[in-house]
Amino acid sequence: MVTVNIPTPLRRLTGGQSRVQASGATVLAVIEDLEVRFPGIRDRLLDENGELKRFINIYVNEDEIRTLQGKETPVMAGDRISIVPAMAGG
Amino acid sequence: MPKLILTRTHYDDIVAHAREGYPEEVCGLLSGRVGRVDAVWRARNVAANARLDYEMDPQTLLKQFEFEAQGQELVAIYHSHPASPAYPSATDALRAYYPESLYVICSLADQDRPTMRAFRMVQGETEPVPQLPSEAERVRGQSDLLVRYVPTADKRLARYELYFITQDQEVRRQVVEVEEAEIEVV
Repeated sequence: MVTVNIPTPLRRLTGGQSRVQASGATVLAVIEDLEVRFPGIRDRLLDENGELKRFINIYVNEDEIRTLQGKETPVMAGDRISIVPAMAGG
Repeated sequence: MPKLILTRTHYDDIVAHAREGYPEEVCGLLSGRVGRVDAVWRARNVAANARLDYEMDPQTLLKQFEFEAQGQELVAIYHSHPASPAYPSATDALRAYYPESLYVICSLADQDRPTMRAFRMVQGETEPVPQLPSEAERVRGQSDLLVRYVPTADKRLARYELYFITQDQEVRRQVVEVEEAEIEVV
């Protein structure tokens, strides 16, 4: 199991929980596992082609997954996944 | 009305950050509790065109969970507008993903008199609409997005209507409510 940090904007989907447990061998598998219990969360993270949305960051422990293997980044029991929408604008 | 409470030191720190970064935009976080700022966290702006955009660096983004672990909240997200007013742009509304936090904008449009304002921005769901309104304008850097700004009689309240053109040439609208917050310097 891994621990997933849920940011405030997505907590409507997790019943207000800021931290949930999930399982999966990759980031993508973790997202699919979250979707089973928290329907709708996948669409907030992945686009229609199944790619990570441009303004969503996902971390495995301290590292953003674009610097690793993207959504195929492996995760191990005890890892901490953090989902973080961008803070951006013009 | 939402309210942001910060000390003169915090306020001056944000203005100083904006000046140091000029002519690029700067950005950062304000942590604290129930609208009251305890600390200013300067971030790096990693946007491709930092004179026109901001995008906070990944490590600072992660701080929101540290704040919570310490009983604090992400009170506000700040950025500077080097040459435009202290008011959310269409791009700011498009990227307003944090409805529980305030968005603080520090303008250096008048270099001698920086201004700071704070806003709550709440994005609605995206829904299909029959057609584009004729007043909708293109948004800089976005080929498939148009925007209409709609003020209200109450000048603290307004909304942006974002119109997304899908690959099938359908129009989908998302409304972003903009509400000005009071800033109290203590």
